[in-house]
Amino acid sequence: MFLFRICDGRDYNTRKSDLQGVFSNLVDKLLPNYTVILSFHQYDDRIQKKEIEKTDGRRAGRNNMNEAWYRVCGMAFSVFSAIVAGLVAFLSLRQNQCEEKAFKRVREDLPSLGDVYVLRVVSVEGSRRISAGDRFSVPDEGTLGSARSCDIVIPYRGVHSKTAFFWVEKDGLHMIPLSREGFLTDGDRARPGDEAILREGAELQIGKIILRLITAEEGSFIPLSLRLKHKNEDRTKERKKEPEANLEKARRKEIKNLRGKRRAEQRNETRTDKGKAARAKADARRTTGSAACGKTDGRKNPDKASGTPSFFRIRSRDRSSNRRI
Amino acid sequence: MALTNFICGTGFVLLLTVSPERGERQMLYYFAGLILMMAMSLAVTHIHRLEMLSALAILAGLLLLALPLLFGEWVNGAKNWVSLPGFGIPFQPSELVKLCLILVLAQAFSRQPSLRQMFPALAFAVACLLLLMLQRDLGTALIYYLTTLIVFYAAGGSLPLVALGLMGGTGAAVFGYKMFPHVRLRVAMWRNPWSDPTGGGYQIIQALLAIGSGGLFGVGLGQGSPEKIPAYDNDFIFAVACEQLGQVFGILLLAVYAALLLRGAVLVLRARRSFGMLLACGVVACLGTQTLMIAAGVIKLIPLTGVTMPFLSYGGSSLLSCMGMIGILHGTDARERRAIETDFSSAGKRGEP
Repeated sequence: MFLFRICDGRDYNTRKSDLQGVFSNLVDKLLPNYTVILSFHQYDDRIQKKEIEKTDGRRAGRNNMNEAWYRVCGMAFSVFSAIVAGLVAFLSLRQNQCEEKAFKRVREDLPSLGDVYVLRVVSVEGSRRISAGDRFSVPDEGTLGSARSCDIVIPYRGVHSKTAFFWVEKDGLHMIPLSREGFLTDGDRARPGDEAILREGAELQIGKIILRLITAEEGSFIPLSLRLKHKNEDRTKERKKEPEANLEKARRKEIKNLRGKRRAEQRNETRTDKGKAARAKADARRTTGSAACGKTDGRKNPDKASGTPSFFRIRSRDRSSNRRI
Repeated sequence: MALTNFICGTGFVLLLTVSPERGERQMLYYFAGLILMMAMSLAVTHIHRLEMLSALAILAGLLLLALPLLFGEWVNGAKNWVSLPGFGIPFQPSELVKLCLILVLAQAFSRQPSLRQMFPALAFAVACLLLLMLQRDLGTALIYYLTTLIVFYAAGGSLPLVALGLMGGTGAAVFGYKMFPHVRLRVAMWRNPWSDPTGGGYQIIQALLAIGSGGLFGVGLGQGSPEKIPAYDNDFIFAVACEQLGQVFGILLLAVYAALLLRGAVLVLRARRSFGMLLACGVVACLGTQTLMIAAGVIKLIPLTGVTMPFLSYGGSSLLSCMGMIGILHGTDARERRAIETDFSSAGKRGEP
């Protein structure tokens, strides 16, 4: 009972590790000869609660209230953390998608993005797949050969499956031969272990195929940052022009509609005029009595008498009089 | 960085509820990790003479891994801890050597080298594996092995050699099963933990009970009985998170890990140089295998391996190495962006009429 009075005034929701430490310190100081056999791992919370209630009912009530609020806050935090985790995962995936779209757009605008150099075929003998003038885009780093797994694939029988490994640096295109035969750069042979540096305009000979190294957009190359800037400016100009273009479109559409209406009205007028003429004829025939001689009845087959095709028969119905004209 | 901070923040909150001192210490380790992250990022971005750095990394790695064998003590059946002299702070060298391994492998396997040229890096990896097996730290050895294999495959290594590596790993696993009794115990407890519920199977049973009792939204922060799970603050922190914050939170936490690995994978795919690509690939492989191993082990999908949950578990060495890996990713990204700008600015100067 005395022990429970010591911990009476404390918050019931204290963490067990702290409570155990405080407990043992207090007991050691106040009751050095008292042996406390207490294992918090086996301690039953319900028993402790009952003992507290026995000593002071009001304090127990307050502790129960604290415990309840603590549990409510804990549950609320777990739901909140689940929502935050979901948001974080969702937003990061969305960020990935947006970056992918932006990258694709840049790639569409600048197809040679990242490819500074191009290898252009100068001459080739006995090949149906490659001809002079063909261009091979050179990426930043990769392999060159006839194998499909290479970054630059040269489908020519004299080219080894993996002829060279290359990478781009400020001073030019560096190449290392991977095959025994190597290759020729401006007449100099490069064998395995050598490193050749090709500058713009250099000639590369592999077997019987000769290639020349040129920049990706020869003569009109603009730095990437400037190109993107121009592209953005063009886009903003196009967006500004859009409202004007829309107005014009709307005007043209209106004019088209008006013309269409006029034509429809004219067609209706001609049809009504024709209809009136046919009626007049039919009336005339009735009065003269020619219908009784077996001649065609304008009323029965007015369109046949007038020579109107069957298509227009269906169309030229006068809705006001509710009879065929 | 946001994903990393979210996971670290979750770790702090959980550790503060179960053990406030450890939570505070973990925050200090986080700040140290930030410094290491910046250092690694700057090193990867600016250092161009990588051969020298790689040689230093090999020496440092072997020395660090030899320290526990010489000066360490057996803790929980493994001898992989060393105390810093003067400070008395224990640390695990095998965690920091992961950074050395990734750097060495990326440098050695880039630019399509021959097998002869790859030999020093492969020898370093094998030496690390042997030292870890001597320390009985088989979980970390498995991470090293899988990272080496994945980076080798990504570097364009021949498939027969990769298959040979897989077969070698399988053989080593069988050998470990036969040689080490604690491996046999772990496999037996994975198959049926209820055969020894108070002994070998106690840990996994308590973890499963904790995850189950948490339900969908958990018992609440600070509630439950996480201290009943042995090693609840490092290896089984994921079970504590599921108990307190719920299984839904656990799944979303794994989704956050997946998003982090996806960001790394995007770097791998967009890298223009093989060195950057292999660096990012090594980091993603290391973090991915570690996360998979511990998460699957906690839910009894695979046998337990005794590795920590990246960014979440208590442990200075683990947090430092994970932050260092994030620094490598940042450095790789910065390196690739700079490569694009340099290429275009230098080509522009050449091509302008």
